[in-house]
Amino acid sequence: MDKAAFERLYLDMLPGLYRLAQSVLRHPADAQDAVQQAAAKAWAALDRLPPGHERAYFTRIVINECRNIQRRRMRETPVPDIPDRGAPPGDRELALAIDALPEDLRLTLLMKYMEGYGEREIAAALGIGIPAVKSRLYRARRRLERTLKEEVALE
Amino acid sequence: MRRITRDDLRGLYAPVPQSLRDGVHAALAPLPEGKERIVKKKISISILLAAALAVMGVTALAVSQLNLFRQTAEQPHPIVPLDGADKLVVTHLGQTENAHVVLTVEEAVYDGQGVMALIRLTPKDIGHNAMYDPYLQDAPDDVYEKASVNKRVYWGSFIADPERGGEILVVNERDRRELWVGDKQVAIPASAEAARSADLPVYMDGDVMRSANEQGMEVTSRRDGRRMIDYRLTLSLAGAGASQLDELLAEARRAEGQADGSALVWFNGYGAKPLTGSLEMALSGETTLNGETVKLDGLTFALTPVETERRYRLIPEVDEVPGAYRIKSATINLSRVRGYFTIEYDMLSDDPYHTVSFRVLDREGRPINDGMGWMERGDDACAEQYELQSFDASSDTLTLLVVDENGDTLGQCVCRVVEEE
Repeated sequence: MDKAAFERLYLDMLPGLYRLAQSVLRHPADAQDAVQQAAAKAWAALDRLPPGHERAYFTRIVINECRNIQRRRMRETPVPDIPDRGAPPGDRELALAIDALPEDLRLTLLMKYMEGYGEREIAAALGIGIPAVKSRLYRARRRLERTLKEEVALE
Repeated sequence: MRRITRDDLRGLYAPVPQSLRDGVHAALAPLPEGKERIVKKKISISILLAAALAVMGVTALAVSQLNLFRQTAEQPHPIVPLDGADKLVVTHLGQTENAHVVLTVEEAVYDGQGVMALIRLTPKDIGHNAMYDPYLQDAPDDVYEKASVNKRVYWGSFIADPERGGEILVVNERDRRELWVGDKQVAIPASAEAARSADLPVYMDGDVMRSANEQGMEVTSRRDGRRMIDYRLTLSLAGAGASQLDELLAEARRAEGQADGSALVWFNGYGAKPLTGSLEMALSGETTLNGETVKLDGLTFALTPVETERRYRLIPEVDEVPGAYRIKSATINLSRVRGYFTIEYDMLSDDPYHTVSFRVLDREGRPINDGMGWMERGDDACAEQYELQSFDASSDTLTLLVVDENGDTLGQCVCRVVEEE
């Protein structure tokens, strides 16, 4: 794959990757840094790109980049007062409920129901087993229902 | 029952601004197209090291002036390299340039698990230009003129005032600035006063969108009158080293302007476990002066591990606190540069949000300084890892201090220290 084809592929997936990065970092500027850095790293490691599994591969690198940014926030400097710039244009109550989910549950749920990843794809992206994916989806949904105080149907 | 659709979820997050698409393109553009270009600029550290040793007088001078370790030695909890670490540092690893600056990879070290690199950016016209250094730190008052101004609004789209129920949407993209109140687009005020009187959160200050209500300090110019060159650098793994992608993340952690107008940028990263073989690092970036952004040609350099590590296993006398945690494994790897502490454990609490963290104490029960790290709480196992002050003196035992998510001490765990082959 040449770089132009790679860039097209990455840009095609950019909206979903950017949404997931925002869900982790909550700050668009940081999320933008994460997906940009991830693009460079994914290209640098092109020979590891598993054909047919590009989305899971890119997602894993983006999440790694998000964690990298979180590490810096956590340990190098005092935790900054992150402005709520990622606040959604959509349903505020739902946004707060999603935001309240622990990161591992939130990511799994959003990959499945926001981005339409398959369970195997989520497992590959997060480096966990399929049983763990199922468990996280179940727990995420229960948690969401507790927060929203009603049953939810994720479609 | 509440139905939540994919569109409901997608609506919670900002769409991709054009500036991000441009940013991805910019991040990729300076990177080599293929392996041939990577090899072309490859520099072998082992060769450079041999060359440096051949001119010992020059090397000794360079070593005495090392800046590389300042990034960890000057942090709040200093991690100071042990004697001899400076001999592992390789200098002058490569150079590239564009119309604005010359970039030099001045120093780097790879101790088998972690990488540190120090980059210097020097303006070509250093009489009139200087690097803009508050990239990762506060701008020093003696160098910069600053003024209290209304804060810039970050790129992107967002709800400006969540307390108003998601009523106001701000779009601040490079080619698109919009302000929506409910379903109605309104003109963006041209001054803070106009914005405040209209109860709107932002206004345009020339080409810059600013908050109407939030104040912040902003650099306006240098006291010496030189123009400022902004920059962005990325250090990543390339070529053969990319096989270590998941294990090493190097990032800029500090930048510092120099009196002559150049800037030093430190990169630092380490792997989850000791790495194998050499690493090939790819450096890319761009600079901006007077609104003109120019890419830097990509530069790659290879790093060869130069020290055999000491690796220790920590065997807890009691590995489980019922209802709290169970330690599965704990290791400390040490080099002359620093240490790396890694612990894997199970959480035994029924509370899915309960977490613990471990700190290493020395023989006298004092915390050993630590720095950058991460923790993960998964379904099946939890882990924590961070860099640590290295130490020479061997000890039969070390103690782990266990704290909860509030920082409250849960207890201490004495561990037998076993050196691994």
